[in-house]
Parts: sequence; structure tokens; C-alpha cells
Amino acid sequence: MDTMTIKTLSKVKDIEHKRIRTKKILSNTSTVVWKIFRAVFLFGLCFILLYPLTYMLSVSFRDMKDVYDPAVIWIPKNFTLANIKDVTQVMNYFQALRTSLQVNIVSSLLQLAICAITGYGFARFSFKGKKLLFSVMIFTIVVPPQVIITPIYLGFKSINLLNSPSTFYLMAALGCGIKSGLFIYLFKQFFSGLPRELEDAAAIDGCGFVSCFIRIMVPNAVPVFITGAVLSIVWYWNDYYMGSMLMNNHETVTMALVKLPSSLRLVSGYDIVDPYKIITRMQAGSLLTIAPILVFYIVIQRFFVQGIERSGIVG
Amino acid sequence: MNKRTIISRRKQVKQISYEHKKSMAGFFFVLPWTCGVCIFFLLPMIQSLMYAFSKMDISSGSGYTLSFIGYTYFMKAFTTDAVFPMKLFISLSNMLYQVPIIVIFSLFIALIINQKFLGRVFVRATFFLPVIIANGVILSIINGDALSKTVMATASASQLFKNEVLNSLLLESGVSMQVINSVVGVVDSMFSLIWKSGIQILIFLAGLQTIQPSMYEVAKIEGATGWESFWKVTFPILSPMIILNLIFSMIDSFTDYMNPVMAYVNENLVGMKLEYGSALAWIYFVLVMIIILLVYMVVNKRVHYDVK
Repeated sequence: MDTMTIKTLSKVKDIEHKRIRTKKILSNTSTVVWKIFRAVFLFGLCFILLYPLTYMLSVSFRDMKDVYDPAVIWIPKNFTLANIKDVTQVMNYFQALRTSLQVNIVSSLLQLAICAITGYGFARFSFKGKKLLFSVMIFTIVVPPQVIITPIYLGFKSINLLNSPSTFYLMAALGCGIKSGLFIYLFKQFFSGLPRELEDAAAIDGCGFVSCFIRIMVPNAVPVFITGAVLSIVWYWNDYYMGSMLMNNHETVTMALVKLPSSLRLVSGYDIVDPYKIITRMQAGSLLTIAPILVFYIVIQRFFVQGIERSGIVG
Repeated sequence: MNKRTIISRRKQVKQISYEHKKSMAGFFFVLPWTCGVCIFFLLPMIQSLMYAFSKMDISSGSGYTLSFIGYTYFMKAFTTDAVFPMKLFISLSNMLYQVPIIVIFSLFIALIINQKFLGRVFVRATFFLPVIIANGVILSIINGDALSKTVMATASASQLFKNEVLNSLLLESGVSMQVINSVVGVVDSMFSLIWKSGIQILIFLAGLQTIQPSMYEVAKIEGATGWESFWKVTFPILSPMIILNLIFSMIDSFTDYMNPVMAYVNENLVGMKLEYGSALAWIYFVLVMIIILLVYMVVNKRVHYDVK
């Protein structure tokens, strides 16, 4: 009887081992298949996403001979900087770059500061009319700028402030920069998520409201500031509509890019221009337009995703 | 009796004073933004509404007079104008089918990117790239003018998914024209859909990171399969983000640079047809506002908010 039970036990063990092994093999193969599928899928998607960028890079450096050459797909045979030089001249690039940087940085700083203050006010205090103001803020996100641009334009015209970067500065300083409502919402979510004990501890130590904000809330909010800075800088850089309406004489890089086709035709004297020339110049112009912001993004990218995770927009 | 009442009154005064102080402080914190909103938002909205209802006469260059006309422009938008209703319909139906696809797609991608694998940082950086280059101008360059589409060995990026074969294949197999049009339309626009899902992917990714792994362990102990643990653990926790992304995608799609209605509104705003453009902008805005509110009210009931 003992040998019988030992035999059956060992048989059962063998069957169990076999089952476990087949399960392992199946799950291993399915993991490997999944990994391969995922790799291919992501590779395909990344290719799609990077395609315009690589296309821009490829075309901008092509000599005109390569443009006609159907054998040249990605890597130009005759590497040339002529396109970029042309575009730099026509677009008045360095002046535009200076304007862009100036408007961008000042407006972003102002916008972030005011949105942080406002978000803190919404998060931590209760005052009369808070709910109403909050719904107004949601409105500011939803309403497109086209609805309100004309009265703003006329308003600025009557103060004679039109066609100068001060329009942007003024709007940012009063909390109405580009997509400010979104930043206020972000800050509010974050500050609501911080524990109240921080404030209480600060109050015990003798902080007033303002110093509590500056000394305690702001250092804690660094991830949100980084996220906000990146988004704000990107949006101000890419802005064309407000810029063309409110500061037409001071060209930002994006505005210069939009004008590029007509500027090119102007420079070439309204002759019948080779369309390929325009294409290469346009691509070079696009490359120049996004190059600074791309560099900025690559540098700051590591902090950015961490910033989103820690900022608790989603919490 | 006097001393006690004096002391208690002083205590009372102090209590009210602190609360009051706090709410006044809050008010001051919000004050700069409130001023800005009044000047740059509320006032222009009211003025724009007034424009929509009146006719403007520009006299002697510096002033203008408004004469109240009433609903003329709104009527005109829907009845006389040949282009507007159609453009409205196109843009709204585009939004209707694009937004769910974008949200589902970005959820899928965020789930994939969340796993650990080689090159993860690079992939994350790449997926956020469209937001950086989301310049309307650059997008229209990418989508190409007629020149770049016919020229060059490499077609423009938006042509990547254009597929004549798919079209004829579906036709041959007897599928009706309507279905073919919608399916091919979706496939064609896949490039721009991928391009538009940058921020949504990021929001979902951040949301996924906040889920504690202990939840998954609990699910595993209780015997949930991968599929079940997705629907019972991941999905409810992500539901606030889903609604955020829905609303964000809707807003994004209707303020898009290449939105036909927006382009039309812009044309009208620049010329002498300022009033008409304002009316159009208002109609569009109110319509989208209604849609967004509807979606919010419907979806919000099923959203599981985290109770801390």
C-alpha cells in the first residue's frame, strides 16, 4: 500500500510538473510575442511621429540638385546650408528670435506667478462668490479667443497700446495670458492636494498669509511650476493668432514663418519661382522655427514627465 | 457681569476677525486675476455679443455707432448663408468621431508606455513631441500644400495613411458606400489623430503612475485575470482622467487652427463683416458649450472620484 501511494504521488507530481512547465512555456511565449508586437507597434508610431521632423531635417539641407533627384530619399547627397541662410535673411530670423524670446519669457513668468497666486487663492480660501469666479475660470478655458479678440483689439487701440509687446505683458500680468485658465486649474488642484497641516505649522510659527505662500507653498510646488513653464513657453512660442492681432509690428518667429511664403515671393520679385525652391525654404523655415523650442524640450524633458506625475493634476 | 461680557465680546470679535481676515486674504489673492478677467474676458464677451446683435457704422475713422438690429445675423447664419450650416455640421461630426478615438487610443498607448522596457524615456519624449510642434502653422505645412504632395520621392506625412487599395478592396467586397467613406475617412485621418493625442497620453500616463501597485496585488490575490484587473482597478481610478481628456479633446478640436468653422469665422472677423463674424463665433461657442455640458453631465455620473 505504501509503494502504491508513493507511486501515485510521484505520478501526480510528474503531471503537476508537466502542467507547470507547459504553462510556463505558454506564458513565456506569449510574453515574448507581446514584447515583439509592442516593439513593432511603438516603432511604427514613433516613426509616424518623428516623420515630419526627419523630413524637415532632410529637406532643409538639400541642395537643389537633390530635390530633383528621385534617388535621394533621406540623406542628401549634397549637403548645403544655402536654404537656411536664405531663410534667415528673409525671415529676419535673429531679430524675430530676440522678440520671441523676450515676449515668451516675460509673459510666461508673469503668467505663472499670477496663476499660482490665483490657484492658491481658490484652493485654500473661501470667500463670497468663489464658486461663481471658479465657473468663470472654466469659461475662460472653453471660449476660443476669436470670440473676444475684436473688443480686446479695439480696447488696446483706444489706449494706444497696440502693436507692442506690452499687450501680451499686460494680459499675462492680469491672469489672462494664453490658456491661463488651465494653469489656474492645475495650481488649484495641486494646492488642494497639499496637507493643511503645512499651513497650520506655518501659522504656529508666525507666518502670515503671504509669507506662508512664498516660503512654504511655492517650494513645494516646483514640479507644477516646471510643468507650467514648459507648457506656457511652448504655447507662447507657437502662438500666431494673438500675436498677429495684437503686436503686428514685432514679429515673433512663428509669425515670420507664416509670412514666409509671401516674403519669399516678394524677395524673388514676383517672378515665376521654382516651386521646389519654395518647398525647401519652407522646410528650412519650419526647422528654424521649432529648433529652439525643440532644444529646450530635450533639455527639460526629464523633469517634465516627473513634474506631471508629482503635480497631482490627476489626483 | 460687565467684565465677563466684555471678555466674551472680545473673544467673539476675535473669531469673526480671523475668518474674515482669511476670506479677505483669499479675495486679495484672486484679485489680479479677477481684474484681468473683467477687463479681458467679461467685457469683451459682452461687447462681442452686442456686436452680434447690431450693425456697426464706422464714422470718421475713430468712432463707431451701433444700431440694434436684433436677430438678423443669427437668422442669416442659418438660413441665407450657404456655407455655414454645412461647415458647422462637418466640424461637429468630425469632433464627434475623433474625440472618442483619441481618448481610447491615448489610453491604450499610455498603458503600453507605462510598462518598463528599453527605450522607454525616448518613446515618452517622442509621444509628447506633437504638443511641442503643435503649431498650427507647422501642421499645415506638414499636411502639405498641393506642391509637396505631388513632388518629391517622399510624400508628405499626412499621405502616409492614404490608401487607394483599401478603398477599392472594400468596394469590391460589396460594402456600402457610406461605410466605406467613414472607414476610409478614419484611416486617412489617423495621422492627425495620433498627432493630436499628445497631452492626453501624458495625462493618462501621470494618472497611471498614481495607482499604487498594492491594488494590483490585491486583485491578483483575489484571482483576477489581467483583463479583469484592468476593468476593475485601472479603469475606475482613471475615470476622472477620462472625463478630463474628453473635455480637453473637445475643446482642442474646436479651437483647432484648421477647423473649417474657425477659418470661416476668422475671414468674417477681419473684413467689414465684423458683426456677422461675432454672431457666428457666438453660435459656434454656444453649441460646443452645450455639447460639452451634455457630455460632462452624462459621463460624470459614472466617474469614480477618489475619496481621500
